[in-house]
Amino acid sequence: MSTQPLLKINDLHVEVAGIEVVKGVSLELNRGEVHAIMGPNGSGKSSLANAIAGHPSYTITSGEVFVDGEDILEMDPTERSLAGIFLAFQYPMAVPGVTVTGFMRSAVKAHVKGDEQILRRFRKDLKAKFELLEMDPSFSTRYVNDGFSGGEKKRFEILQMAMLNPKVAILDETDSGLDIDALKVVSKGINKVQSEENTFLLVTHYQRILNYVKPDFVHVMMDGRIKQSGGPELAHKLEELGYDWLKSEVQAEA
Amino acid sequence: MTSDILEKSKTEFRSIQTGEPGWLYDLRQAAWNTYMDTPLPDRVHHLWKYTDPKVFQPASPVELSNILPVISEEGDEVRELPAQFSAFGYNRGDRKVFSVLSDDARDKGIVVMDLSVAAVEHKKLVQKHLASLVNADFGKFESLNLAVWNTGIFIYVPDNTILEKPIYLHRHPTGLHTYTRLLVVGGDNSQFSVVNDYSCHCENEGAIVNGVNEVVVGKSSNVELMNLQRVPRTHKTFITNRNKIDADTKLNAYALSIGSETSKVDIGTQLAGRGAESRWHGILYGKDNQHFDHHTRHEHTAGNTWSNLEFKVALKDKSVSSYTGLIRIEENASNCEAYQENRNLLLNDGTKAESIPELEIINDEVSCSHGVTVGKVDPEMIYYLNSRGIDSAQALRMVVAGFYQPVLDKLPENVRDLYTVQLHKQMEQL
Repeated sequence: MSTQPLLKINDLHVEVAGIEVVKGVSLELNRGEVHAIMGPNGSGKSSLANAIAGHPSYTITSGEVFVDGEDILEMDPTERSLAGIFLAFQYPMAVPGVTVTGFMRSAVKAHVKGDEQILRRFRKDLKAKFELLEMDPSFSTRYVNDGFSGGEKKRFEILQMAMLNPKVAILDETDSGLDIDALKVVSKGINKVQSEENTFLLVTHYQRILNYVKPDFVHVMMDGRIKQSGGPELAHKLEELGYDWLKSEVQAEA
Repeated sequence: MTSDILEKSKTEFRSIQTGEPGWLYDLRQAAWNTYMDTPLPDRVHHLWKYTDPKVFQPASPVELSNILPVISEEGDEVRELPAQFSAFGYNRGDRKVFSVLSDDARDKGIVVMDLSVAAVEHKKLVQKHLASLVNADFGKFESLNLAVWNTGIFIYVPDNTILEKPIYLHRHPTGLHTYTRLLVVGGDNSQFSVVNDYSCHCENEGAIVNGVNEVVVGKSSNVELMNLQRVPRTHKTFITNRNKIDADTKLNAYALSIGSETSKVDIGTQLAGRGAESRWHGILYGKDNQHFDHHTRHEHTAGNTWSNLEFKVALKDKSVSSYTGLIRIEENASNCEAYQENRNLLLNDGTKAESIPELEIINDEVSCSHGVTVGKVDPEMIYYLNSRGIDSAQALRMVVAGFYQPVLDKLPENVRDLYTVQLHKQMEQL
């Protein structure tokens, strides 16, 4: 097994509509590690997540991103997915007319590249994941995210992640808008997928989800930069003192 | 046109009509006179704003005379009936007509037969209903159809009859001119479905298909009508459909428009009795230089009637679609509800969709809505699919197929595949 980081971000700068939103972020995520990125609204967390996944509106102006040693910045979003990146969307898109099963089968098919065995047990796998995320099997014939509640959308994102088994899972505010029961279910799904073979980047506004998904590292992002990194205790400190504690330091610096 | 040629063509028309009953001959003759006396539609008229009527004009009256009916020809052929249908009707532009019925359908008194023969064998019904909805005064090309139709199918479903499997009609154009008619007469308290499939593999450059379909249904019946227009790109198609449903009858109509170079379609349903319900679901996919011009109308002539229409259009390459959708509610028709939605998906620059809802509401107690959208595929949707490893070409196919899927889902199961396969075949290059 290679010892290089699964996700390596090197001095990444990102622009949206000509405005720099990520201003030099470097991170290393090793196998088996769970990292949380916390920060107030507008700090650039989601921009970082979308830039890594390859959203066309996010322009990477400089820096490098490697997945398992492979430079991904020349790849389109499809290739990045196939290279092992998974982004759980903050606001998943509805795709009317495309059923959950049809969508999932197309995605799995693209990933397994003709591995008949995996395709043969697709239905069984899907059923197991429905159970894991405590979703009714009737979702399989519903259209993707069409008329789903906020909680259902988030569960379905995690279900997709569980089906695709990515090397690098980036969860963009998967916890926001979830009630406590849904949060527990989603966390259970995350913990089930988490292993020594993958790494997680949890982008979150609140400490809440970190009670259920234990991070090894916590990073605080403000104004497009990683302001501070530490262990799980950093999240508790933020919970206690709020972001203002760091904000004042950012301002003092500026 | 000089009176000389007019007179000459009238003479030819007379001489060729043999074997048909006199009343039908008179109907044709009158329609022919109307056709000859009617000028080409004015492009100022809103229904002809988008399509040049000249494309449906036969080159000369002499050419027309060649396609007039020859009753003496033996048309019937026995063919095997596919298991998913209760009857099969086939008619060709060159006058070949045959039909096969299941024992069940025959036992129930269902009629599916050559319209010319039905004019004799079921004279009362045919005489009463033929040209009752689309007569000689309807329009120039409709009068031409009534005068010279040479191939047609008649369907009769008696009262209190439930036919589980659809009646499938293959409407097969041939040669350069096909003038074809369908007359469906449904009784009270019955249930049946008809697949009306215009298709052929014939490629005759400049061929014209002129079709008129009339469907008259009694009270408390349940009817499904499934029209497909998938004739080759060499053809120009002019189709007029009129349906009339009586009290408490439910009509579900589906249309697939994918064929022809130029296709002008006029579809109308009259809700003529209280409690009547009409739903129309249209699917159109255009590509290359295809030109589509659809007009729909829901005419509420009785109170407490309900209609809903959805028309989904996607256009690729340089294809264009024009759509005018009329809802008319008569003065004495209170408590009606009518809804209409037209959604257009433009898959690239250079396509064009026009959509004009028309409301003629002469009654205050109604509930009416209409909506039009014209837009492109949302790039965020494609990105979402990309982020799951699905490449952009497949993502686009999935999104466009998904655009139509809710309509396909509503189709009866035994016909859904036919629609889906044909639609996806048309979408192949996407």
